[in-house]
Amino acid sequence: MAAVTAPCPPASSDEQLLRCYAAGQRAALDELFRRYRQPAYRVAYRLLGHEADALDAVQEGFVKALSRLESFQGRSSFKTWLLRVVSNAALDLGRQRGRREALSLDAPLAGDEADGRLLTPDDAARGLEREDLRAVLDRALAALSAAQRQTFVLHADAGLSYREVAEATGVSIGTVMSRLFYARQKLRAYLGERTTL
Amino acid sequence: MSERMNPAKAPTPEQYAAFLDGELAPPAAAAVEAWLAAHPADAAEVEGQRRVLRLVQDHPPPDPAPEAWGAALARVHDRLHPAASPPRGRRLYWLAAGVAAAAVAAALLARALWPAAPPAPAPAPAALDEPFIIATDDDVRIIRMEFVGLDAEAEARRVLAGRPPVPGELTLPGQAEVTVIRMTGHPDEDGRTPVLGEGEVPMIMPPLFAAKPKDH
Repeated sequence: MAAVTAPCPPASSDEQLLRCYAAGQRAALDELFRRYRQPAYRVAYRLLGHEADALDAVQEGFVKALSRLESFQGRSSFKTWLLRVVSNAALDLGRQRGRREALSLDAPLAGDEADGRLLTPDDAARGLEREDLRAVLDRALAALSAAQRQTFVLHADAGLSYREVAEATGVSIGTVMSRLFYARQKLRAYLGERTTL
Repeated sequence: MSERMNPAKAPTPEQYAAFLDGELAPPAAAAVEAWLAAHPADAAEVEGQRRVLRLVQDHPPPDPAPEAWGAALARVHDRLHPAASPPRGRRLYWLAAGVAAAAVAAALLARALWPAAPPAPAPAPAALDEPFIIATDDDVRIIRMEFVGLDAEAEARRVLAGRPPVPGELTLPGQAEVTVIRMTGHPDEDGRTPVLGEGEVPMIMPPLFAAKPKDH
C-alpha cells in the first residue's frame, strides 16, 4: 500500500482508512471499528448467542483482519473481508467453547413451554417475552449447521448480498441460495413449534 | 437473477430463496408466483420463510453497552500494538490457556505420529506453541470428518489442523478431509521440515516430518 502522511478524515473511504492505518495512523482503526462494529457484533452474536463471546469474536476478527492486510487484495469490500474473518472467528470460538450452556436445546425457557403458551411476535411489546423470543431465535439458529448459520446471518443480519456472502464463505452463489433456503426452512420448522409464526 | 423457469416444474430451492429476497427477474418471479398459486403447501412454506426472515430482522441482538465497545477497541489496539501497553488480565488468561493447550496438543500429536517411539520428555510449554500452528482456522476448510479407527497406520495419516483446542477434545482429520491451501514449514529440533505429499489431495505425508531414521 502507498504511504499516506496526511491525516485521514472520518469521511474517508474504507480503502483510504486502510492506507492510513498501514501508514501508521492508528486513529484510522478507530473509524473502521466504529463503522463496522455493529454488523460484526450482530453476526458474531447470532453465531455464538452470548454478548461477551461475541465481543471476543469481534475483537479477534478486527485483529486478524488488520494484521493480515496483505491477504486482503481488494477483491471484495473491507466489510465483506472483515465479516468473513469475524464469522470464522466466531465459529471457531463456538467450537472451542461449545456454545454457551444457555443455548442448550433441552433447557426450558422462562415463558416458553413452561406455561403451555406459544410466544408471539406481538409479545415483543413486553420485555420478558421479547427476551424469550430472542432466546428462541438463538436456539433456532443454534440448530442449524455451521455453514447454514454463517450464510444466514451474513445475509439476514449483516445485509451482505448473495455475491458478498459467496465471497465471504468461499462458495458459489448457487450454494449460498441453497443454504439460505434450507436454513429458513429449518428455522421455520423450529420456530413454528414454539411461536405463533 | 435472470433465470427463466418452466411453470410446469417446481421451483428449485435456489429459485425460492431468490424469490423471497426479491432477487428474481420479473418473468421468473411471475413464474414462481404462478406455481405458488397452484400449490398451497409450497405457498405456505414460502410465506412461513418470509415470516422467519421478518422475525429475525425485527429482533436483532441487544447492543452491548458503550463502555463494552470502548473496551473491545482498546483490546484490539493492545493486540495490534502490544508495545504500547502492558498485557491485560484477559490476555494473560488466554496466553496461559494457549500454552497449556499447545502442550496437550503436542503430546497427543507426537503420540499419533510416532506411536512406536518411546515417550519423549515433556518439553517446555513455551517452546511448543509455534511449531504446532501449521495452519490457522482461516487456512483450513474441513469438508468431511469421519472416524477412521485406532490402528497405527490410520493414526499416522492424521494431522493437527486449526488451533489447539482449549477446553475441547483434540480433533485430527484424515488425509481426505483436509485441503492444504498454504503451508509455512517450521523445522523441528533436528532440522527436519514438513513435506507435502503428492496426489489428488495435497497433504502433509506421514510421518509429518521427513523420514525419521529407524533404530534397526
